[in-house]
Amino acid sequence: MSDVAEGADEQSDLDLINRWKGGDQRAATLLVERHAGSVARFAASVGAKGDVQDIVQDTFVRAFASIDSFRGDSSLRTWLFTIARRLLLDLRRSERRRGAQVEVQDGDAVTEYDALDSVVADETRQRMHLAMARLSKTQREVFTLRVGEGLSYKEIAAVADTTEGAARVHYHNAMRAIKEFLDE
Amino acid sequence: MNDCPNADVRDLLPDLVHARLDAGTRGMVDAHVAGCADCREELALLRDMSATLRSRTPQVDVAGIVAAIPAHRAPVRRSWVGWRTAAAITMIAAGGSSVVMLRHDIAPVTDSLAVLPAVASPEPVSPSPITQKPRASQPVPSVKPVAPAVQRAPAVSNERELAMAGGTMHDLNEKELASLLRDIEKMDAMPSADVESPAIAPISPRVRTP
Repeated sequence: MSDVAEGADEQSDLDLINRWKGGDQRAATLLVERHAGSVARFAASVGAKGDVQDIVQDTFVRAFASIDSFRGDSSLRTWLFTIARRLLLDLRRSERRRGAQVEVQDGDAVTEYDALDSVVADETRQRMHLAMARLSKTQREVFTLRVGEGLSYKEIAAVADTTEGAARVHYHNAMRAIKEFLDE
Repeated sequence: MNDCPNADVRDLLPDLVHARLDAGTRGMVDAHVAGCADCREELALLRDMSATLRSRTPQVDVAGIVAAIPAHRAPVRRSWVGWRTAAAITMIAAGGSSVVMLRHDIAPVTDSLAVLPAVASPEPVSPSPITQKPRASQPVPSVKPVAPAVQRAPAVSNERELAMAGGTMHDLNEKELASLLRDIEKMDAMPSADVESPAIAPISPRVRTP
């Protein structure tokens, strides 16, 4: 596998970063437009509910604030996912400390997805949502990154703080569970 | 829905969906998928799942996010002068510490050297408390004067004196050990092992018999 499509994007991402460093605010807008949707989808897949906008905004603010530490070893999108995941974990941790909200459990995801069912007109897609809702939190995170965002196992491992092997296992287990659900 | 036994190709199907395969790998995967019903079915499912996941992208306010992004600030770097000063201070501190450590290591040797004149002194040395106060109940060996041996002490090399004063026999090299043995053989004031007389002559505690 090679990053043919991503490679072209990474060139552009780095170019845009350099343009923003040079004072071009339009470059920042282009970067946010390019990646905000992916970050929002990922944030939602790992448990963000009403605070998706805050998570995405904080992700970009932190990313741009420390952009000089981004050396392009990973893709910008992978880096953004990593920041978003940490922000969400920190947020959930502080919420638990305050007792304001318990951690989103695997079973809660069903309710989360059920709430969105009304906007899913297509019956097949609705079943896919339900299939996703039955996955464990980790399986859903890995599956979203692999199928929804097209990340490699190596990139997923970096984002989800796991190993490539574990990411592969989670993906195949998720795939098997989805197939079984759809076959029922 | 069955799983294709070719796990390698199945692993690459999401990359095929996202066009992340190079031409060679893509050709191989395409050829396999063309002849594998299970992979075609899984590929179709993956495309649907990908579309489904993307269809429910939460709405975000891009303008608001961009407005919250601070202007870029170049990282503050220390000037070369500052780094050189810091490096110089570090070197001086490291050098000073080394000197202190070396001096600390040498200090006990210097102390040993300081007591050497007592060994070489021809004047009578104060007897040790042990020899000065013999217990009446214990037989006291008669010891002949050791003045001549003490007087020959200056002939012993400094290294050996150091070893005898504060170190052990293990601190001597072969040459020093041989020299020491020769000196001992020449001694004519070796204390007798016989218990003949309660008279005790002063003996330098620094001279040891092997």
